[in-house]
Formats: sequence, structure tokens, C-alpha cells
Amino acid sequence: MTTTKERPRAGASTEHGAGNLAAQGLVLAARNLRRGANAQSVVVYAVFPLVFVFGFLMLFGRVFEERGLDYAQFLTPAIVVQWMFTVANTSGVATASDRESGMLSRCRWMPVNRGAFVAGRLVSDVVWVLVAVVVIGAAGHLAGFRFQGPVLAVAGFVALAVAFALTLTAATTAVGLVSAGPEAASATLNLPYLVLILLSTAFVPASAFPDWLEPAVRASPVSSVIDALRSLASASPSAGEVWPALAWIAGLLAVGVWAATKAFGRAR
Amino acid sequence: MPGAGIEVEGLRKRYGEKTALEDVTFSVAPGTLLGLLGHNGAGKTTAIDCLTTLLRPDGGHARVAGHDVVAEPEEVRRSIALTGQFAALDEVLTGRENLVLFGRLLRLGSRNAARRADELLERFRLSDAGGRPVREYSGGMRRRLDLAAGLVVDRPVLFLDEPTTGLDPRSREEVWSVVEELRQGGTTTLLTTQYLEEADRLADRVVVLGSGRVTAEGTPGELKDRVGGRVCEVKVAPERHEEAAAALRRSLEEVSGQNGTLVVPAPRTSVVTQVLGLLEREGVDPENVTLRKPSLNEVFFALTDPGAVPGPAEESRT
Repeated sequence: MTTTKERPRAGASTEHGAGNLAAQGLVLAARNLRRGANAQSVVVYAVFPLVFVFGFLMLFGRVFEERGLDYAQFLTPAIVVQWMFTVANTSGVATASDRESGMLSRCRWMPVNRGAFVAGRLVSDVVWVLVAVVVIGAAGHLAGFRFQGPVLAVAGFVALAVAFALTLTAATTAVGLVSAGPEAASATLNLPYLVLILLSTAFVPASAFPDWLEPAVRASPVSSVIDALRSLASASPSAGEVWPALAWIAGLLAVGVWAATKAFGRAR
Repeated sequence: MPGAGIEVEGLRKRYGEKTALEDVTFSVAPGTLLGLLGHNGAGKTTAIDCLTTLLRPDGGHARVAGHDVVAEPEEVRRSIALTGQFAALDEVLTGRENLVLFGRLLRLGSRNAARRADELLERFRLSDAGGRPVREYSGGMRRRLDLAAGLVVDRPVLFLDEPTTGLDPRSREEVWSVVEELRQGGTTTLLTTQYLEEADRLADRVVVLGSGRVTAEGTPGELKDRVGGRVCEVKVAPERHEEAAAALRRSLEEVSGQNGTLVVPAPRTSVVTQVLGLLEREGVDPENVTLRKPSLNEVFFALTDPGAVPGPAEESRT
């Protein structure tokens, strides 16, 4: 890199254009990742998925095998979705923390692209999603999980996981921006996560729920996404099982982005 | 730098029913330091937020370094640095990493950002601490780093929002000396503070805000003269407080105090005679009368809200 290239042109805008957005978004993403790369998150992203995959397998594996269900194949996509919640909740809490510390304000009074803060968060979240998918995929592989379909279906699996995580992130960002602080954001985000994941087909099939609850469990967004991931990992992926997930993601994304945009405009 | 001042004219801002700023007008001449003095909730931070483009005013005009804050926000952002009430830094990153981060956000390029970070660490006497995470810094070091972070690129206008609130006396002194250095370098500065002492030490001129309005303006010396160097304090039975206050207000302008304690500025000793006369005419028998130096709080109160009696509600943050 030459010296002239490093120096911004005199009077050049540091706010407008895709170039500034990309460069500043990447600088902020690198900072997010640097913050996140500590001992705690290594445990969260590398050790917990292993504990979950093998723990649940030990607990329920034999019961499901007796019913003729391959639990490693059933469980691994659910752990992926569970981790998408972890990525999104961590992101929402980090946003609340940036708002509290004044980092968000700094990005707003400095001549920095108006979208760079959000772009940086999205990029670092995507990196965490990919790390989680690889770690969980590897753990699942050890337990007997296999991508049984074509490569395109594997790509679809990863894309759907990323899309779902970013959809959740839009919502958790809105929560992070309106919360009193990171602790409050964390408390607010944990309850819906637990309810949504427990009342879904993540760990048991829908038929295991009481009759009155079963239709709701089957139609829930979390079940839809998990079932779509299971289909994409199976020998015969079917579009029919992926569409409900895409519909949910599109709808929730619209609501999440609307809420986050509104919250962003008010946050100081 | 010509035109690098601040001009505020008729600035207004409401939050729902509540008025934060009402017809606020003042200006900061290029290269000078203006102290914006006021209690919590007086509108100081709202004014800073409007001038730094964080908040859109409801009415009026404001120009910073010659640029309108509503019509040309980007030009304003390219002319300013802001140090808020809480140091806006990344606690996890080191001091140096913070400065490099802000340099890179301003598109300096990694090599220039690193060089600039080292220059600033040296200038703000933080070179030794540059490699340590910010969470290990003292309050004074944080504020200095926060100031440095605003100056990664030289800016003609500096906003300091209560830069020493919560600092111990030594850290406060450190921040003051940095602010003085910057002003000597020609930076136009708007400083908000709750401390008369701070305004006295640093400001060329002072604007006093009370409940979103400008209530007084002048040099620190002029304001102190207005209040006078002494106050007369009278104690009466608490149940007769209102009666006594009303009696004094008939001839005296700035009456404050509560629960039977009344305080009026007493630039001349004759004010004591005047106070006693007014109370006698009203039939209120004072329990005690003293002539003493005003506390900072009283000076401040007399300037921010003349004529009103302070209650607990006005002390709290709104």
C-alpha cells in the first residue's frame, strides 16, 4: 500500500458511498470479532455444541432408536438453530452494550457511513454463524449425522442457518437498542428463546406434545426452520418442507428490520 | 480558523410534553471557550446533541464551523469532536487499539492510523498505558483517551459534555490542563458543566441554562459580581417560610432556600437591615440571621432559577 493511497483525499466524504460502508463496516466487524474472541466465547462456540450434541444423544438416543428414529440426524439441525439464537442474543446484548458505552453515539457524530454500525454487526454475526455451523456439523458427524443430499442442499442448509440467524439478529438488535443496558437486554432475550426452542420440534417430534399443543408446535417458526434444515440434510430434500421456513423468515425479517430501524432512529 | 465558531439562534426541542430547550440563543467566537452552566435536566446535553447532529432540533437554527446542523450534518460531523459524559471507548480494546479503530473508521489507512495513535498517546501522556485494556484505566486516563479519540483527525470545534463529572480532583486537573492546551491551540470549545468552579477556571464566557432557557450570560467575573460575594441567611419557623419568602420578594429579587431557611444575596451589609425590616413589617420573628460567603450551590441556584424556591423535585434529574 502506498502512502498516497492511505491518505483520504482532501475534502473526500468519509460518509457516503458503498466504499466507505464496506471499509468502515469491516473495521467495525473486526473490532466485534476481536471483542468476541475471548476464552468465554471459545467455550460457548466450541465446547457447548459438543456437550449439547453428545449430551442429548446420551439422554434420548436409545429411546428414539427403539422407535426407529436416527437421533443424531434429528438432533444436529436443532442444535444449529439453538446456536443461531445464541449468536443473535449475543449480538443484541453487544448492541445494548455499545449503546450504553457511547460507541453507537460515536459512530453517529463521527463522519462514518450511517449503515456501517449495522453492517459491521451483520458481518461479525455471519462469521460466528459459520463457526457454529462448522463446529456443530463436525460434532454431529462424530455422532453419526450426515449430509445425505446433494451439495446444493448443503449450501441451502448453511444459507438458511445464516438467514435465520440474521432474522433473529434484527429482532435482538431492536431489543438491544431499547433496553436499559446489556443486562436488561440479556434478561429480555432469554425468555422468548427458551419458550420458542422448548415449544418446537427441536428435541422431540411434534407428536410427543399434547394434542392441543401439537398444531402450534408444528407451525411455529422455530419448528419450520428446524424441519427445513432436517429436510436439506436428508437424502431427499423437499421444497415443500423449506417454503414454510422461508415464509416465516421473510415475515419476521420485515417486522425485525422495521422495529430495529425505528429503534435505531431513537437510540442515543 | 475563520468561521469556526458556533452560532445558536432560537433553538427549540421538546420531548412530548416536556420542553428541553426553549428559544436558546448564544454564540461561541472562534478560538474561545464557552461554558454552558446548568443543573441536571437544564437542557445542556440536549443542546450538545442538537449541535453534534445526534438530535434534530424542533425549531431555530444552529451553525457549527459555518455549517447548518440540519441542512449540512455531514459537514458539521467533519468539523467536530465530542467528549460525552461517559467515555465512549471500547473497554476490551487497549488504548492504542481504540485510537487505531477510530482512525481507520475515518479512513486514515492502517499505517497512518497507527502513527496517529502513537502521536496522540504521547500528546495526552498515555504512551505508557497505550498497550493496556481501557477497563484498567483510571477515570482521568479514560477522559484523556476519549478526548484524544475525538482528535484522530484535527477538528476546529470541540464539544465537552460534563468532562469532569465524577472525577477525583487530580483527574479533574489533568483534564483541565488538556482542555486549556487545546484552547491555546485555537480550538473553539463548548463545555457543559454543573460546576461554577470549572466554568470559572476554563471559560471565556458563560451561558447559564435553567429549565431549557438562557437565564444569564457573561464572563465568569460578571456573573459572580451579579450574585455578589456574600449572602444573608435568615432562619424562621418552617411553617412561616412561605409568608417570609413572599415578604422578602417584595423588595429583593433573588430569594432562595426552604424549610424555614431563606437566603438572599448580600453584596452590601445593609441588606441585613433590609431583610430584618421586611420581616418585621410582616410580623415574622427571625430565629437567627447570618452573613456569610455563598456556597457554590447557592451562587448557581441564584443564576439558574432566580426568584424560585428550590424543592426536592428540582434537584433530581429530569
